[in-house]
Amino acid sequence: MDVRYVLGAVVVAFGLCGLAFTVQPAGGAAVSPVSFDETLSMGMTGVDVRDAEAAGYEIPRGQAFYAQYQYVIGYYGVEAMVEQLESGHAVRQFGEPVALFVTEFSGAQPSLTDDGYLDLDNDPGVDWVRADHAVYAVDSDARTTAGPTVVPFERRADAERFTDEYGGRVVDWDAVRERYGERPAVARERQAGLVENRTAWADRRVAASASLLDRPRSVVVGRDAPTVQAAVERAPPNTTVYVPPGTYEENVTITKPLTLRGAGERTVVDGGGNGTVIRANASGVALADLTIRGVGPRDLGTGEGNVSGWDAKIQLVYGRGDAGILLSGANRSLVSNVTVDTGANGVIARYSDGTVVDGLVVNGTDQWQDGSMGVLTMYSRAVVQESTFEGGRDGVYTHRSDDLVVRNNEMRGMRYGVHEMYTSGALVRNNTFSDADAGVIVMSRPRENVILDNDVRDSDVGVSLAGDASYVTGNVLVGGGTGMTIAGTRSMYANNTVVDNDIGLRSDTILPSNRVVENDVAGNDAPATASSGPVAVWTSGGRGNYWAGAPGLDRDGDGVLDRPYRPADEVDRALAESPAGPTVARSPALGLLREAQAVAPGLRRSDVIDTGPLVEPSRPDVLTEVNAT
Amino acid sequence: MTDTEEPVLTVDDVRHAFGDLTVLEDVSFSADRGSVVSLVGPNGSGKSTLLRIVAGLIEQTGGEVTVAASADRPVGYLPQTPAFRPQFSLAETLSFYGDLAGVDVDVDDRLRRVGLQNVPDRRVDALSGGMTRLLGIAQATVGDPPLLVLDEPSSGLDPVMVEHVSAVVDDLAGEGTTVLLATHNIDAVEQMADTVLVLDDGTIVAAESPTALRERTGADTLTGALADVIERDETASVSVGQRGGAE
Amino acid sequence: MSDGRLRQVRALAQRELDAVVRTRTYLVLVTLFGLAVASVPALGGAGGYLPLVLNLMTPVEVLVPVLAFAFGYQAIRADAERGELDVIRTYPVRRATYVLGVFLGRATAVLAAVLVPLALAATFVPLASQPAPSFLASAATVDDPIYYVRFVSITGVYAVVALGIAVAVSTVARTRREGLALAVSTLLVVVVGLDLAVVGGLTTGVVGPDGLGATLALSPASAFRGLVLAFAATPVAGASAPAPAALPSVVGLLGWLIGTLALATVTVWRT
Repeated sequence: MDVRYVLGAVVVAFGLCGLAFTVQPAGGAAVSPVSFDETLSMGMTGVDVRDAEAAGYEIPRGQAFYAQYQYVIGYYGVEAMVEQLESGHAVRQFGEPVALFVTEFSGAQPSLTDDGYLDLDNDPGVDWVRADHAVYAVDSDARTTAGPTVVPFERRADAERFTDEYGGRVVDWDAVRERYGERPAVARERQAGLVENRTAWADRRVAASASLLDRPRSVVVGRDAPTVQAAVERAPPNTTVYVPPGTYEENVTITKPLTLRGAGERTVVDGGGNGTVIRANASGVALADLTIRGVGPRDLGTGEGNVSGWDAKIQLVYGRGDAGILLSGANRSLVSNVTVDTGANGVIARYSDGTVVDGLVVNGTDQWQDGSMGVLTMYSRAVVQESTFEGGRDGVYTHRSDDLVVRNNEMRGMRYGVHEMYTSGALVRNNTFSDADAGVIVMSRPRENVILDNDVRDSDVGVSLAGDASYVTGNVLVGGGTGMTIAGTRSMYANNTVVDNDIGLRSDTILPSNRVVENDVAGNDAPATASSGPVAVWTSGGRGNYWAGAPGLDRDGDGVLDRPYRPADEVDRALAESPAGPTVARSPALGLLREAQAVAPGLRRSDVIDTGPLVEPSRPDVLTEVNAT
Repeated sequence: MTDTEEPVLTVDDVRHAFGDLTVLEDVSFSADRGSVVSLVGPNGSGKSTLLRIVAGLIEQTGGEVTVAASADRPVGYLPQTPAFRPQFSLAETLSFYGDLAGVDVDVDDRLRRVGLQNVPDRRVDALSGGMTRLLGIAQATVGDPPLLVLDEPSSGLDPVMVEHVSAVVDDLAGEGTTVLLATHNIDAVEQMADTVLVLDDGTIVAAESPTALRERTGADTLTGALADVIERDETASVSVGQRGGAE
Repeated sequence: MSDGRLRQVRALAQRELDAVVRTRTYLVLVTLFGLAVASVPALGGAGGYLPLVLNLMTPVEVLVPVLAFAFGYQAIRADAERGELDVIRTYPVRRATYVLGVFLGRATAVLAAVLVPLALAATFVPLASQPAPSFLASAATVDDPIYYVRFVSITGVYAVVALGIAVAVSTVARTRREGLALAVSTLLVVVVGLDLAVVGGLTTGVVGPDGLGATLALSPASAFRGLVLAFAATPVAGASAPAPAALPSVVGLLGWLIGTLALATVTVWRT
């Protein structure tokens, strides 16, 4: 090897490398807005967006390009973008914003409907403009279905014309950031507020509906009337029809506020397999102390019927199967202490706001494919409590039933325990689930759902949540396939006890914007897995989660291990399980690697990192109790 | 050559001390072109130090050394224990030194002259001590310096090789190279030296041809003559010391 | 430089390169270094050039001086101890020529040993990248191979500077044992000692925040780190604080290189 050639080669190689100093890295230099459909969107709920789309109203939007994240993040509502920018989470996870765009309406001649929704005379006039080049109409009458909204304009004159007509004032981008940046309450406070609000409402509803059982007895079936239906027809409104023990083979329809009350198990209404057994079409109906059998075989509707809206199909298919009890247009009704044996649905509540289901027992099919829902709510803010669901498709299925409460129930052996569709603001609390495909599953991008203090055992998935700004806290998820899937946006997963699952936590979003903190994760085959997206950082405010056996020391005694933990990583998993783990964990080589991996998470391959693993479980008593059983 | 009358090497009143320890004192001699000067003396008499001064490797404390030559490489040098980079072959080693001297070395010729013509591609670390010394001599001649300084050129060689080295030195001298060598091999001295320089305790106690030395001391052999010279010098030193004490 | 000198430099450099190539220990060392560098993206999951730079920054900061010292710490001392330096001195070779030749030869080996694994490590990035879902717009992130290329050249400079220090060590030390001790202690000083001294200076108030940038550039490791942050990890470094000024670091590294080679020239032998 002639040194001249070798030296020449390396010098040329390094010299060429040196040319890199003369080249400006292209990354993030010139960006232009992309089609909103191609962004990863967050902000408003699926319902709000679909409502607006269906009605032809416009939602102001934003899109952000971040330095260390390859996808573009789209925001429904300029407020949502500002909120994330100001929270600091975005910068930590995705790097500095490189470019921010908003839709502007200078050329679109916007007007407001009577409800304050944005209506455009010239839809193609909507344009993307850099956020700091736009001016904004704030505090005007403009709103989306989610609430008041900021309207961006390219030209100040257009914005002023808008505020002249619809109120508010015109401000620049900095003012918008200041105005909306501080809006989000601390997540835990927000959650506490939601829980308190929903619990108080549910308690009020339960107390109010109990008075329906105090209605005077007017008709006794068998004594005053030959059949239940005859008794119902004969009884005056706001009285009680008593159904003595016995089996009544008939279908009943109630069209006035009435209480139908049996003697409990011994009072059986048998529909003979012919459609829905008892239907109520009036507000203030109460059905109590009954056993219902002979429900018709149709677990789903045919899809035929006269319903409009983008969800018509859902209403006609899911909402029109046979049921033990159908409440339709029956606001503030009560189902109490009723047992339903059904091959289709147990109770369907359609457009029956304020309904209370208390002490219901639904015995569904052994195979979920054969059956349907225990309780199905549509457009019905209901309380479902103290009930037992066995078998069937889903224990409680909700469609557009915002703010409903499902609490203190027991569900066994079904597809999903609680299945929320297009339902926001719901509280699912203190239920127990076992042998289900999933305990609680939330779909279709809603917001502010709370999944609190539930216990899911031996199920394929404990809790699976989609949507925005939601909360999964204090749940016990034991012995299943996957404890929790971490999905959705800006949601909090905290203080859950996740034990003995195949996978503890599964990171399942390419847009990691969730807070995953203070969960106690122990004895899972894999503490966590990462299926897609960049590295998710599961630490907030310096505190992460308790990973049983996570190696490392807490030298400063702050309750946090000094060493980052990667629960989805084979190496860290092995370290946590082996007695030799602490020895390897203190290796400077591994330390170097771990420290480095915590930087620029948005550019790295799918993984999970906890930069502040906890020394002690957040709920040691719960963990001990779970481990003992 | 026009400077044949000029001595190639002139050592004038050279003195050298390592700190307080004086190792050379009033050393003066000269060497003509093509002459072989053999430096003999007991261990520790200062032979190697003198050779290193002549080779320009250490600077004497006093006096002057003049090498009257205009060559790029005025002095070739064979250290007492020659050693070379072990990863290289003999041929590579000589070529390397040729590059340093700025000449293209005829490797085969140089090796043939020292009897190593059969192993040009052998690695240096596979050579015996004697062979390494032969390579060292070949190295010393690279660039054809007018003066060769050889420290123990025949040490560790078998008698046949000693003969060979003597022949090489003779050849070189015949070609006009001046050779200054240190040796313990008195037979070799007798065979090749024009002048024998006897160094004892840092001073030159005799400087003449082997024959002249033998005749002057009346010894049968050169060894005997050297012993005699050194013996007398010891006595002289003592007497000088005594005189010094008397003053 | 005259033709003669050029020929001497070439011969000296060639001799050093050959010696390295023919010594199995060096090859083992280079292989280990290569594995260490390659294992970072392989085990660490790079995902991008910028993350790779960040992953490699600290290992390289430590391993490159180790490699350079292993290659350089006895380059000259071995010649001296063997006595061959005396022989070389009887040739018309200047001290600067000798030091330069030795340095260039070793630098060739060190640079090749650094460049090849770093180049291989970069291939992990496209190999390991995940395809983006086609329905999503994929924007250019700040990630750019340019950053990695810059990192490689800064690393090359750092390696050369570390080698210069090692060569100076090899001229100062007299014996094998002394050489080893001196090399290890100098290595420690370069890798951690100087930074500790700067920290000590901060603690005692000798160094203030104003002078920190310049003081830090006195440490080759910190100068390297500063340059990487300034040029090869700009988007990450710039996110939290302004990128460190590059000039003191460049001056610091050049100063070390020239200083150590000058020291080696002066101490290699006395004229």
